[in-house]
Amino acid sequence: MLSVRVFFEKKNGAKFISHLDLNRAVMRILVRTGLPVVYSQGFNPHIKVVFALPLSIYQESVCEVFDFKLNEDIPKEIVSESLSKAMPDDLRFISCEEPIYKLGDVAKAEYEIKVYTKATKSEVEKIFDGDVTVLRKTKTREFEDKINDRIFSLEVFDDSSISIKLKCILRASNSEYLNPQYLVNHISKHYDVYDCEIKRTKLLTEAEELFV
Amino acid sequence: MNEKYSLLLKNVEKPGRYTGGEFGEHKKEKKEGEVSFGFCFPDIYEIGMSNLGMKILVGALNELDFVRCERCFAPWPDMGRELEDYGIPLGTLESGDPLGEFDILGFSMGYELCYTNVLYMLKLANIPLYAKDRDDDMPIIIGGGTCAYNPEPMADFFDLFSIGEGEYTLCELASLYKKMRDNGCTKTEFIKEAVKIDGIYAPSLYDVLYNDDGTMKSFEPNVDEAPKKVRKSIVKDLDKSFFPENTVVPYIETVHDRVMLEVSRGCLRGCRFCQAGMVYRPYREKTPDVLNKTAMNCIKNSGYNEISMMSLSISDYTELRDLTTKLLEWTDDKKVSLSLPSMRVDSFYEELMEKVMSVRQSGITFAPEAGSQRMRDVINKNVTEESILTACETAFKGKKSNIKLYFMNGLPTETDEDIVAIADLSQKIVDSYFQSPSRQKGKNISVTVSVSCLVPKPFTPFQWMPQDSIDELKRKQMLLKNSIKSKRITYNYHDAEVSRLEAVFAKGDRKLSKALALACEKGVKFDSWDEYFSFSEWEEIFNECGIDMDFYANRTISFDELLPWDFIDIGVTKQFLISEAKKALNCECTPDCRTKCSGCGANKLGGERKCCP
Repeated sequence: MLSVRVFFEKKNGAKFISHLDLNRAVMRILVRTGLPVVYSQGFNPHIKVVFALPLSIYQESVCEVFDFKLNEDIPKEIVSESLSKAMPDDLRFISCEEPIYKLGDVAKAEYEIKVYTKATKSEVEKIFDGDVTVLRKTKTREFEDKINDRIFSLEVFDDSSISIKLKCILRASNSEYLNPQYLVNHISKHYDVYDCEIKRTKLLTEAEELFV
Repeated sequence: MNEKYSLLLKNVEKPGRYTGGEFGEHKKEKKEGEVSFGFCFPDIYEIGMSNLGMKILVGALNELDFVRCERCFAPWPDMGRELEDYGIPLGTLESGDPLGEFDILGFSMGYELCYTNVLYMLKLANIPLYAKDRDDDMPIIIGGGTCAYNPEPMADFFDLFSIGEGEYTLCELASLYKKMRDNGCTKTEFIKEAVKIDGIYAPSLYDVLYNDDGTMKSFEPNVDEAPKKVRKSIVKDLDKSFFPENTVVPYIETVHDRVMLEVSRGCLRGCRFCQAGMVYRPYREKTPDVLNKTAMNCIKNSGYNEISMMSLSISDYTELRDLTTKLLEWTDDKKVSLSLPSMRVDSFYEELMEKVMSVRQSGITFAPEAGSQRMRDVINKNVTEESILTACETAFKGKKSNIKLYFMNGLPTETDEDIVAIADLSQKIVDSYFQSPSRQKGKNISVTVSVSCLVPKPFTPFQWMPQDSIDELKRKQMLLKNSIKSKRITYNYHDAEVSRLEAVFAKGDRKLSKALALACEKGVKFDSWDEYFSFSEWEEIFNECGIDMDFYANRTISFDELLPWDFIDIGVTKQFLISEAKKALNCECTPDCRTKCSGCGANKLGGERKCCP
């Protein structure tokens, strides 16, 4: 392979590191593989790594992706094995492939969200019926944002007496990203929310095909 | 990762400090007959993970099949509060097990201001502070690090101290512990056996008596097993001793995100204020072949892109040229850069700078320590103004236009002229830049002058000297500020009150333990951090305990007074230190060990010494 796309998980301890920390960790992972990776040119050469999408701190994922390039054509088995050995448990290596789509083709993402709340399944379904507006804060202003156009599907499930589960597909591209946290914020406007666990489960194209 | 923490990690700053799970984490399965060792560093993760000593000792212990050694760092107070609120006792990163469940807990103490953090960690772990209050079910608590060279202020809280280099000592201790525990021995029996190991000191086996004026009257063993003098342990052959090639690679940014390669131990310069230079003697080196191989493995196993060569005086390493050549054979290709710690001005040369300083680095650091030649002679720094200016000129040639200079004030026999000399010297460096042919057009020089206050430390020739009073230190700091005229010079100075506190504990005795216990009760912690240091609180604490800070920090001690650390043999003799102290007051220099041996006494410790007879 010359172009490598790596699929990995980000969970447990790694939930609590920032994207910048992750970037640094991946660069060190690639050095540890001993593979002939491509570096940038110039004064301060560093490994060229590109991520599909960043992930917020505290959120988990089983579908993270980064791309890098090799200087020589190395067999896939060797690339896989080196990566697998160099990646810690909390950033567990899933697989690596030749990229099929472009990184820019990532358009949506699927999430599973466990919300600790006493609200019932039907109560939550009701508040997502119709307009969903959330408070968004940017550096310069605060505004109410109607996010329905960025929610492509949403299902609510019973989970336990103190929690419900959401499964949803939201807008997720580099130019436009709806943080799943906003769905939780929307619930907390109406009901007490004690905690939540957000897990990104799939990266999808515009046509909702699996991003590979 | 500790699941219990999951919820409260969302409420704290930098949760990555508390999760563990990093690459290279040594997570061992619990097994029958193991000895569990909780290695505690009394500061936050970012500081502790940059500490080479901890990496070496945790690694050395985990090499033993029957030892499970895990890490614990002081939680930042926001996390400490969460732990208390949720009733979760402080535990290690790897397994989350509470510290109280470990067989042995070790605390590495590198500077005196971490003492309150040690007690903070014990409190968070629900472990009684005083050794006498802990029964046989509680862990054996051992202290080490540079502060162990005067362990007395903390003596009442520890069962044991490891004085000197711990790689072999701690492993021997763990083996002894296993043997005796498996045979059903008590804690007291273990402690009495442990003191037979080199460098192990058990405070409970000694009685201290004081004179009416507060000075020490006697320090005597109260059992036969305790030796009259505790000799520090050293690693005899650095090449053969353990050095970690598989270290933990943190996720979050730490102070030192690079491979730390220990090149030598000890120092042959003999600067009179420097404790490390005395207590790490005799001077020993590692060979370039061993170092090169270690460096390769460290980079391969970590993925770092920088190697820092660690040494008290890197320019004195005899085979520096050979080592850098060997390293550069592969580091350039692998895009790994090399860095050296602050070099002596008199051995800084162009070739060295070009080889090891990356183009991106625009600054260089030197430590003249004093502004006037007379003062430099008193402290035995043995550098001339000429060599300082030459070194700076070399730096300018290498396009380095940010010069950082370290100085101290409050040195013995210091006068106002000596203080002003710091300003004069910095000005001369600025002037020499503007006159230098290497001056870069359009680029200005910046000189940073960083001045700290002398803290007289045990086992240095200055241990008998008083620290300047706080008022004097502050007055001199202002005097220097007003003497600096150029806009090219930035002046930083260290808080005199923080230095005062450090000085009290540096030369402290067991009478200070009640102040530390009271401080812990009052929630005093993180004393070396601006956010938490409160001198007025400490003044209240010392007052309440009837302790006079000046007695420890500000008193001229006579040469024949019994000192709290006199029971320790570091190799270097008291007679040598006294002779150096007298020479200091006469502005006389002592040559470095390579030029001429001055008979300090460290050679009697043996080992593969590089320049001792």
